[in-house]
Amino acid sequence: MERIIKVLNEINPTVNWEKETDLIGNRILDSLRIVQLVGALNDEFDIEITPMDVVPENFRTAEDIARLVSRLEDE
Amino acid sequence: MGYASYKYLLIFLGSVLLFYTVMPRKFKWTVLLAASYGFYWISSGKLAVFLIAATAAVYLGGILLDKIGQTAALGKKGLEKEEKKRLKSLISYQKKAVVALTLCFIFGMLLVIKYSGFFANLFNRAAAFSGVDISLPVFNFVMPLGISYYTLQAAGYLIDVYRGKYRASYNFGKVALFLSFFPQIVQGPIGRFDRLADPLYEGHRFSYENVTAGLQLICWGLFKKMVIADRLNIFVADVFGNYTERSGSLILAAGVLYTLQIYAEFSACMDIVTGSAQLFSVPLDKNFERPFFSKSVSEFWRRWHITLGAWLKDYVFYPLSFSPAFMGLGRFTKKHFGEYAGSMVPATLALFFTWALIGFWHGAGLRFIVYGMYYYAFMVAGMWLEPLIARAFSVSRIKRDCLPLNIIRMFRTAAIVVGGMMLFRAGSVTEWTEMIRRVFTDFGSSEFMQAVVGCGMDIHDFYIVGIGAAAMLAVSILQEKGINIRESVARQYLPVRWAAYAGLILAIVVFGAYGTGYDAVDFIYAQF
Amino acid sequence: MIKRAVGRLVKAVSFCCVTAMLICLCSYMLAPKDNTPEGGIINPSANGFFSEPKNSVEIAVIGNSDAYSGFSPMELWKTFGYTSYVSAEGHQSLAQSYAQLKKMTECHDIKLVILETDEFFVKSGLTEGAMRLANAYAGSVFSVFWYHDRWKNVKLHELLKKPNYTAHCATKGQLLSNEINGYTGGEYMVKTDKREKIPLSTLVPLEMIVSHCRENGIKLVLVEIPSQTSWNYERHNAVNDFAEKNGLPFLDLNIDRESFGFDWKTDTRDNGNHLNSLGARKCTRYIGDYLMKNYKLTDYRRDPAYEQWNRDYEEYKKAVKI
Repeated sequence: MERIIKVLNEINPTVNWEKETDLIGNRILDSLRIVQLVGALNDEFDIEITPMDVVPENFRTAEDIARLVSRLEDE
Repeated sequence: MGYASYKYLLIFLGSVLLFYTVMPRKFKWTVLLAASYGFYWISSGKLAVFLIAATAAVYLGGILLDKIGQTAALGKKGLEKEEKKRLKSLISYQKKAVVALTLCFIFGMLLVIKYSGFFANLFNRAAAFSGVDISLPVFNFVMPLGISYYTLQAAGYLIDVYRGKYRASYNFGKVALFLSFFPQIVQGPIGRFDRLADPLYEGHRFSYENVTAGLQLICWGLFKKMVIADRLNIFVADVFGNYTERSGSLILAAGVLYTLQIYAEFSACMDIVTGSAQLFSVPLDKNFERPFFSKSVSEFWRRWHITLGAWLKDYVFYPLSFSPAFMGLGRFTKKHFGEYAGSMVPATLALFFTWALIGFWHGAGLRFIVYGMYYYAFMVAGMWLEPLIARAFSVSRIKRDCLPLNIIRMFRTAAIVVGGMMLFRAGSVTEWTEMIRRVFTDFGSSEFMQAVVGCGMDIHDFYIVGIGAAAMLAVSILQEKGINIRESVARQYLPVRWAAYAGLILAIVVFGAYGTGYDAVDFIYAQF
Repeated sequence: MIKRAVGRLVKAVSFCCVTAMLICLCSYMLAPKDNTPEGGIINPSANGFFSEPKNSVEIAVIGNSDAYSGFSPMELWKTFGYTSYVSAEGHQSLAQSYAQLKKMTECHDIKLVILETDEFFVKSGLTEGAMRLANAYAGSVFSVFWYHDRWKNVKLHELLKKPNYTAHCATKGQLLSNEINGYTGGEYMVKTDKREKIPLSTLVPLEMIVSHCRENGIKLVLVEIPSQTSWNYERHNAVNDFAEKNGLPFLDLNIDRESFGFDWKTDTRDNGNHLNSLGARKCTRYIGDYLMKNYKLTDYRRDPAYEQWNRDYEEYKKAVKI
């Protein structure tokens, strides 16, 4: 989780990532940020996020993102 | 058979609804399928083979993918880890081959029919320029109805199956209905199999609520199309057709009014088709969300022609951005040009291809590619300058998200869109630049008031368009505030309710631009 | 459950009725209040019969551009003393013809109808035809679909006014033309046994015209004015079959043209499609002759009540340079 927040802060340090409940709906993560984020996550955790994984359910909160990352790490 | 014609609304839609209602539930979908192919046959005749070919291709492709997956799952049992890995890569190779071949086939049809003339012309010009004496024959095919739309739907279905989002359908009728459904075949919305196929296939009982709501939506669409868009068409066609003789102020006015026309018309068509589908209790995806309240170009494209943007995002933009090549390029840039540039590169590049495609999808011609690049330029500029702008705001301590600024942003976005729409309407890029030049050098505002009524629309027409546009704006503002217009009208007392409905119908009948003195205007977006 | 369904049905039906009534009201309010061009009426010359003295016209000539170019009421008046009016419109459909005939029988004591058959072979839209027929039946209740644009010029106080027809059409619906652009091509009436099919969209209103005439004791004569571009023997055969089946006379002026001195070199204004005034005079005399021999129609030339027709003839004479 901490590593996730670190990555997120690199994308945009002004957001309180742990508190936000709808990153997609509030448009904190638009498609550009998603691409940046996916790149950073891929590098940080050595995983491969695919276009299929980019659904709102996986990116709504920091916890969702952490869950996605840990799932992909297991594969 | 246009969606705004009596033939479609009274005869076709009426009889389809009748048959659909009396048919036993299990077979209701056959009525829709027959109606869809009937609709297709009326406008395109034998060209329906292309639709059938595309349907068969993705249907078979989907089944093949499913079969490969099944054999793999069976074969995996009792294998060593090493062998499992080998099998997995073989399977993934096979699946990729199936998807690639099928996509090549369906996009190949689109490419040949829609774009071969353009490419042949391009080649011939290049050959002539370089002095080579070869020329390709230029075929101008008649376009099968909706090919640009159903091809995207078909591809989306197959890619989703490949990605494992859902399993392939073994029911050919279901796939065929999904791709041919008559309300959306002409100009979208571009549907997704997982959301649309089931509501289409499972029969719905006659729903009074849905039928009345659908009819109301159709009426509202007709109002926008016939009262506003078709009336504006007279003025717009006149000015764009004779722009060399018109002053810059008139050209600008025509640009603004064309933007209004295309919005009124495209959203009208979406209302008519969504209402049509609602008669059968089938929900279609939303294609517009009051785009002119957008504060940026990228927001505009999230709210304008939504299903096209979403399709490209899911099947072009993300796959490209996440591809190893683009990601690798990002890493490379990060190393040599810094963190920020590195994180921006994949998206910037992927966006380039996405926008080139959006432009090219709209038509085979240079100006459409320029059209895509026009928006791409604004969007990338916004992306890369974002940190600078953010800093400027934080340094100057101006609140970034405040009403006056947002209103300015809306106008700015609208101005960019008007510029783009002028390019969209102009005959060529040169014509467009000439128009823009005239706007800035030969504005001629002094005689504007006399000249504006000399372009086919008289002062009465302008009044009606003004009132119609005001009604559209009022509805949009209410919707933007989260009010559901149709529901709140339905809550009123009967006389008020009926007055609203009958008033809308009478407004269409009396103030519609149809009949003597008007040419029937085809839907603009049906041409793609 | 059933109760609710019935309630909804009643509501839906009554809403449709209310809306239809409002549309009729709009039709009434926006209908042209005069049959002059300024009054906004479509095809004023085809509607000039409204302002002829009541029951003064006895022959109705119905058809499309071939009829208003190729028939001359003034010639018929001068030679035989019959009163006729050409209510023909360009590209008139038979549904329109039926509507015009209905209107004409309402304000005149029509004894005989001359129906020009060129329009039998022009397909028309289903919905438009249906609406025209509905209009004809119920007295222009849906005329708003044609006259809706008059909201631009209608004055507020006129909205509820009854129409008052004042136009005066001295040619009685004929389009005069002294232009000569002869037809020099070959013979177009080549004898054959083939027949063109009369499309269903025209057959339905055609039957309605036939029965309308029958019910009101009106004689019906089918006439084909010479036209090189739109007529041929297959069409002739088809109309002939129809005429025989319904016991109607059919005069095809394309056949035996020489017998009444018709000449394609001098009698057409546009190379064989439409006739000019000279061609019209020849055709009218031929038709009038037929009418005189076969029907008992009244000669009003000595009737002082028809003095205006003589004055109109003088005007006509000047215009066609006789």
